[in-house]
Amino acid sequence: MQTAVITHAHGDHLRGGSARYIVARPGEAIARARLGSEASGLAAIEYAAPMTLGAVTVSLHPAGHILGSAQLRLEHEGEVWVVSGDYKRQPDPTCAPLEPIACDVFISEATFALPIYCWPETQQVVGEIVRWWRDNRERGIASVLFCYALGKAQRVLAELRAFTDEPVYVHGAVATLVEIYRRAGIAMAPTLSATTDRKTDYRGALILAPPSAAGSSWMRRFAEHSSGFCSGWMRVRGDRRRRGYDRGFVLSDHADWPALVRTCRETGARRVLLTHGYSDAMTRYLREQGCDAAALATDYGSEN
Amino acid sequence: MRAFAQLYEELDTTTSTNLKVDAMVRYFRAASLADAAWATYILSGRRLKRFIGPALIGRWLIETAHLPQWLVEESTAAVGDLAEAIALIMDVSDKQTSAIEDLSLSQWIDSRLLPLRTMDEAAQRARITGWWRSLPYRECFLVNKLLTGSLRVGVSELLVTRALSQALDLPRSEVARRLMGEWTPSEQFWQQLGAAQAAQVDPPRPTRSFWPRRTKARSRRLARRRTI
Repeated sequence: MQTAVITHAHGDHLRGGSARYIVARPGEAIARARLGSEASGLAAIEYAAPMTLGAVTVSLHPAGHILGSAQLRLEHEGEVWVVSGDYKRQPDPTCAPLEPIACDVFISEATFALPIYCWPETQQVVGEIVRWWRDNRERGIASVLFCYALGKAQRVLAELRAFTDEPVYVHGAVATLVEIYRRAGIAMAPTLSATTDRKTDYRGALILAPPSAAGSSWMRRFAEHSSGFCSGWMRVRGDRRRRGYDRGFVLSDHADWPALVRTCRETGARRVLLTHGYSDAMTRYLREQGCDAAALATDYGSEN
Repeated sequence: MRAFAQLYEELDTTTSTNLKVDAMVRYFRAASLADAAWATYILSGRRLKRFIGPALIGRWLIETAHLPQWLVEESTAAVGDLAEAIALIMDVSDKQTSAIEDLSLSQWIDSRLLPLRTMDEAAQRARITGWWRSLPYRECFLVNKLLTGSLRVGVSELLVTRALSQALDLPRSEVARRLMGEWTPSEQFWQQLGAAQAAQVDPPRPTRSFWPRRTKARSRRLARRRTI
């Protein structure tokens, strides 16, 4: 593509092969790290600052998904379209909250668009994580918490500050992004690398790692441990059991069912297009509520 | 129900057999006689006959949650369990959990669930949908499992015997022997289960382990016979 406007830097939303990339300013450093050698084509714009691409006025607005995540607003001859990217409505100390934008057409994600997905309070979930960590410490074992390396891990670290100032070990993939978040001024629990030193005694420690590290040789250093997983999918008992983690914690960077319905309504859009996950259910529900809705096929992935 | 829900959670969130036994021992030691008896009944795989059929309870859910039927059906299919789907759908953020008094497991069964059997449909619906609106998630899930006769806990009968033997300070074989056959969960049952071992058992009963050797078909027959 000549110019790619990027909503956020997760792998299914930012990929190489374009000449030019436009991101929101707070997400610039993350996108730069992710693009590697292609980052020379990267340009950052402030939230809500309009720019012109051909005949279209383009601006980026906070989406509350991860640091620098954005909704894309497009205006052409008085008609406004908004692409939500991934978003959530829960408070998150690592990123600016979503602002609903009035538009004619709203393209919304629908990853968790079933009424069974309604998130508990973040404080409550992080409290459960801390209790699990403490219980494991009493048993003399490590707690390995798997969570997406970009966004979720930093959110957990930021939320942990309300409970403890103890250091948390992080996998190398997490550490790189924690460093970027720290430089952006995001306050998080202190972290130590769980990658370099093989002689560390991890008994009683909390370790954050990406799901891809599960079952790898990297895990051997922790000897006996309990495993946990942070994801919206952990809401359903069958999913918790199938994934084979000891514990599931319901913590998602996506909107839950009430937040999806509310956001689609708040934009005032006359037409809503749905992508990701349960887009068919959301489409049918909105149509029955009198909204002109349709599913839109994309290559976006689902939350890990 | 809160204490039993806590036990269920502990059993459900660990694969360690030692932790499961420890959790059960803690429950048995802290519970009242009647609660310990009912917990033994449920943990050992015995079941209360269902109180409400799935079609009726599904209809009440659609009416109570104000959701279209197809969406409730799709949600239930995604969860794979009606009792859990109800608890999830009714777990909304503005739930009034203070509106219901926490009764223990045996009190729940005796004073709230068993009376449903003699109520008409309107009264059943009022009670049950009221619980959905006020029970915290875990308790709502367990009550729904009891209502639909589908409560199974992830422990083997052998582990339950181990936990009981520790909690009651009796040999496992003696616990297994005392749990044999049909019995009704009550304070009296729990007292008999925990009674000091007689010096001489009279008349002698078979000592072979009862539970592990059961065939699946026989388990099913027994489970049917054991429902209350």
